[in-house]
Amino acid sequence: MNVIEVKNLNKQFKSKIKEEGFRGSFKAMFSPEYKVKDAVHNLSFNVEAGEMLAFMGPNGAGKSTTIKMLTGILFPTSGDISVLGLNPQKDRKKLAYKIGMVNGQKSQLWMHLPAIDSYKLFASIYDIEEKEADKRIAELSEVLNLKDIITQPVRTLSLGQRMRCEIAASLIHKPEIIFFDEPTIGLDPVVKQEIRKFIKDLNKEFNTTVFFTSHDIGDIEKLCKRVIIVNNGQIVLDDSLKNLKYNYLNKKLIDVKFDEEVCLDNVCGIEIVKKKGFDIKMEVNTREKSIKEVLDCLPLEKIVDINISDIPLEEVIAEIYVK
Amino acid sequence: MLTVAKNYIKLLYKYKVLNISAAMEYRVSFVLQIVLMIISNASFLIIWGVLFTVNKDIGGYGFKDVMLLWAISSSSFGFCYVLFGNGRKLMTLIVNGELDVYLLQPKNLLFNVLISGTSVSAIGDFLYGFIILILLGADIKLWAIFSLFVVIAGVIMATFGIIIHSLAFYLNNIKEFVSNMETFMISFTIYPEGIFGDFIRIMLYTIVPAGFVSYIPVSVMKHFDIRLFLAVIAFAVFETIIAVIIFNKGLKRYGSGNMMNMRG
Repeated sequence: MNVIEVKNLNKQFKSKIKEEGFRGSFKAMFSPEYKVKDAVHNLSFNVEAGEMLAFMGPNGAGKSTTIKMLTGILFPTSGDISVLGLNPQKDRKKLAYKIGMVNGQKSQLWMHLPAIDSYKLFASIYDIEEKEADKRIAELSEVLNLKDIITQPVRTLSLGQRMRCEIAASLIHKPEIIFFDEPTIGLDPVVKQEIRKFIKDLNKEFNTTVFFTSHDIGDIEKLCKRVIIVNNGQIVLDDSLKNLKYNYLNKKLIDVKFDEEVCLDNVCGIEIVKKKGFDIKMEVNTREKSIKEVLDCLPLEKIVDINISDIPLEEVIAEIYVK
Repeated sequence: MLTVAKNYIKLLYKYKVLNISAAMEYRVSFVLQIVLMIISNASFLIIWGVLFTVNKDIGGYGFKDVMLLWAISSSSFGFCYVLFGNGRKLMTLIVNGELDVYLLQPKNLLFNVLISGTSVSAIGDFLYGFIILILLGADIKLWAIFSLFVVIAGVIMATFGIIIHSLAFYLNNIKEFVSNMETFMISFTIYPEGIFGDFIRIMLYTIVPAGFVSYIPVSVMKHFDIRLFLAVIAFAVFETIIAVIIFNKGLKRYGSGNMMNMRG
């Protein structure tokens, strides 16, 4: 069952353009010129209940604009959106009871007060009875390990602690869909892992649909099965992460440590990426030459150590952005 | 319907408790803001007192009338911004794309935005009007009428603010315009009506409705007139409708944003 249906979605922004310097500013005062930019252009996609979707793209690709239209923050220029069977713009209040959003760069907590005070306010905003709210806060502080920090003023918390508190705030009303907009930005690897695990458990236990944007490929690899890549407001790829890897990860990196100087100039189908002493790092396009064929060309008796790995997914995605 | 109203009142209460608790984290600043506001307002009345020793009648008002003018203006302003503290930040929230958080919540947007902030210094303004009533030795009737007008005039001040701030949806950054209009509103409510010419007086019952905030209330407090009392209520309702329409229409032009602090 689809919980998000987007059809031919468009969003245009009008922005003022001016020539450089004071002359340009003066001219723009009397005859301003505007440029219309397609932030989102003809976007169509569906998301199924319980899916964990990565919505990716370079800065300015239209990711945040799309999320803001899906959550009722922005009005689209044209196109149809249905989220949990509701129109986000017409049924904003009804939809708000069913969705949540965590923004890594915007806080919704009162900085000078403990998070628990903000949670009690959010419970009122979502018309949750006090007893029910207390139970929910206790549950969330248990799973997100907030017990020791929930009573401290938010301003005194570390970024990782604050982010855990932010996530709890967005889940107080048990949303069916949760939008994560770069939730791990600026966090250390340990906190990142904790948050990823929590999101995974949330999806598994409550079948919560997760709509995820991040520039951290680790987040995507660890959490999402499907990837939508947008650029210039259009979808450039909508596929499973498995297919993405299969179709795009056709290059392998071979790190070889030799016991003496070797010359690989006449080995075709490889590209030397780095050479340091007797260590050589080469890239192989497996569509042109198999790993076995490459290994057959190498002087095996001189190999001390060898490591064969995929090209980092980050590089693959960067390549898709550039295309 | 009743449950909805009850939920909104409960939310209003929670916001106020939360905001005042947050402000009380810095207790010296909290107390100073309130006390200094009362002292600042009082200093103006001292000047008026001196002026009235020279002339017994200024623009048709005696010293007691000016005290009432200050009382209603100050308390209604205080009532407005204690309750609707984000009213004075509305333009900034619109221009900086900071309405997002509120748009994600299942509450009436405008009400939710306005009540989510509380001006601490406005508590001083609110109290100041009632201090004047004590000094005037007001009877119960005056206390009752005054309290009603504080609420109605507070609503007029809030809706006037919503209208001018919401123009930011159409005109973008209008900081100076908003600031000037707010100053006009406050300034006109604390001077006797009679010192202004006819043209300005028309303005004071239309564009900058200071007349409905202080002149008519003072007149009704002196000599009760039900028609004038109802006229103020009717204007408050009318202005509320206009404010809600302008805000909701403007909201369709809301551009959100990814605010970063930058110079200029």
